[in-house]
Amino acid sequence: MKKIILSLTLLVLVFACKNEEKQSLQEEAKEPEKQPVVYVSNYPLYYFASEIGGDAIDLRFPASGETDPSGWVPGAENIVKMQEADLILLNGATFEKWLNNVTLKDEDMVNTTEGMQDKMLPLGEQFTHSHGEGGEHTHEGTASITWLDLSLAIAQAEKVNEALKKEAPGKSKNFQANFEKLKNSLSELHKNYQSLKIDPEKVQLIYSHPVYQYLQNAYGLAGEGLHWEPSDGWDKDKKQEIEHLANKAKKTYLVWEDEPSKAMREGLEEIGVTSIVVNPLFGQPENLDMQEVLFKNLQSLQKISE
Amino acid sequence: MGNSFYIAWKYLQFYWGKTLLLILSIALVIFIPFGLNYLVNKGSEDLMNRAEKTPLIVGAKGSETELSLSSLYFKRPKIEALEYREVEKMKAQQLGKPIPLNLKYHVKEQPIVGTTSDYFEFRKLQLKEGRRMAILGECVLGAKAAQKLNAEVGGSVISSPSAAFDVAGSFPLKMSVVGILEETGTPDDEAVFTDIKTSWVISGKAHGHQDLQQVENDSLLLNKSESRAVASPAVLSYTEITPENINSFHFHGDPSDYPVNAIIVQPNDRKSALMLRGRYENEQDSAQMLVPAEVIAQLVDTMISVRDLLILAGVIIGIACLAILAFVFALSIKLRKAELTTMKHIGASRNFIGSVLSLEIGIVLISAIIISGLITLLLGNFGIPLIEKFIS
Repeated sequence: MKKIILSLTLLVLVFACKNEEKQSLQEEAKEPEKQPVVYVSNYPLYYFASEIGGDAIDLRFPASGETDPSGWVPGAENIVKMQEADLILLNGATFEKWLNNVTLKDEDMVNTTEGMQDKMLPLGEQFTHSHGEGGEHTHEGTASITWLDLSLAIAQAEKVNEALKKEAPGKSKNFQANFEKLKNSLSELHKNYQSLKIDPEKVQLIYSHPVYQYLQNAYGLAGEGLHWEPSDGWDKDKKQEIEHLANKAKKTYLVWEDEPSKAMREGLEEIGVTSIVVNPLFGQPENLDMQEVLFKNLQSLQKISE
Repeated sequence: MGNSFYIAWKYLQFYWGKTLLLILSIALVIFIPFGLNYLVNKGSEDLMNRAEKTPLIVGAKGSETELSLSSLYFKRPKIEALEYREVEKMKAQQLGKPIPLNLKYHVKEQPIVGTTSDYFEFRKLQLKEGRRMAILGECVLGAKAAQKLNAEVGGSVISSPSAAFDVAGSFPLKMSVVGILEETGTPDDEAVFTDIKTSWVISGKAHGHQDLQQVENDSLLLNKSESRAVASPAVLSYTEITPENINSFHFHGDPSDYPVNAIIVQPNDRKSALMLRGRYENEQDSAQMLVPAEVIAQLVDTMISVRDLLILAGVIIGIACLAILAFVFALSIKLRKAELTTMKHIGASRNFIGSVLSLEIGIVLISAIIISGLITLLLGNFGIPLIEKFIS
């Protein structure tokens, strides 16, 4: 009798274990990993999100075809798709000029520079106008190429990491590990940028566009800004303008967003101005990623410090 | 029985004018207490239903009834607007979801509701066709608004000035219709929904115009330098938002200062609702938070008191009318004495004559009850919106 009771108890235990196993397997099958749809507004955010999120997120960058995504005009079709997104990562600092013109839910959007208002820099240009009955008013923007200060870029990447962890808590550990890796390499680059030694007494920097405010501020690379395009040709007006700005007692460098035209480079060299390229990462770079571009920029700037 | 009914019917048919008058009079006497009761109950139910589905409302201090009715029925607001920072403050508190409402403007008679897409989810509004608004200058119409404005998806509607003499304050904005909602039988059917930012464009807080740095026509500029341009009043704001000019639209000043007529608040839970109400009672001096169900319940109580008085009057009138009716029937039997005697002479029994007279009265009473029921049903369908319109 005892034997029968013992074997029955064993049987019940074996069945219970099998059932539990089955249940947990069923539960796993029931909950397939959801891939959150994440939209980004510029390339640096795309880079951060792809480095941290990897294949765990469905990453979309609708302005990827734009040379300068800050001037992107999203059509209604894009916004309708973005309304369905789980997360919209924004740069903030007035980068997304289209944001005032669209209907998106606040809870879906994450401003990666929120809480960093004290670190934001003015554009340096303001425009006052008046018309109709409205009276005089001034439009002054905030400089938006924040990622050129790598301490801000790391802070933005951290916001991306936090937002992704909130969206897919099951992948938190992976995201955190990816972020740490990204943070380490960005910190390394930041240190190298900080070690740049450009003596303002001997070197004068002029920027082809006023878009380097954060780079100038973070690494002591002050200089005046022009409104020149790399595709512009060399002419009398340009010569006059640069001669007016250039300080003959110093070695003058003109910082371009992209490789200037041959005529421009040669014209500048004739009057002793050297062209260097520091890509502000407006759009998605071809064949390189963000860190590679930042490293290339660093190499260009290191040539000056040498 | 069949014979008695035939004779009673023929009698009523012969004197159709008198019969009709009698039926209508009795129908009205029945309708006043019963119909009124039904109508007020149904109206109160509808009013309470919408109010109960709206947990909390925030608005400027003033009449609670005005604030509730303008938020629930999109009545033109008569109390001061709040600043948008109130919405931002509530978002920061994270105790609930604030849904702003800007209600000052209209398209003809239809109210423009400047809000966020959260409103559609909050009221569970479904699209019959098209999509929700996505960019500035787009709108979604309620089912009845679409009919009344004769608008369809792909068409457009133009906002009207906020007041008859407000020719400069707000300017007409041509809005693209991108969606039409399913009919809900609520005031949402009558509304033109747009993003709150579009309602600020209508109010002139945001606008778009030619780039003054690029203007070539000197007559449009009074003064121009590198960083400053003074344009003549000839530079007009765009009255339609298109993909070509959308980027020229800009907001003047701090959007936190912009107006919001009311804020619907969806608290996270009961505790959050209590905390929010407590904060508004203790801290706020320019804003108030109210529970619309409580405000509307007070309004309904007033309606019910009036209804009770009217029913009492109706019952007294009814009793008097029934007495008169009994008298009329008694007189009628006396007047028909010769006719009844003839019936006796040709062999009709006393019971037969009694049943003919009873059937005549029965047919009249039943017809009156049916007619009063029909009037009640008719008013139940078309009278409730009238009551709501009257109240709001």
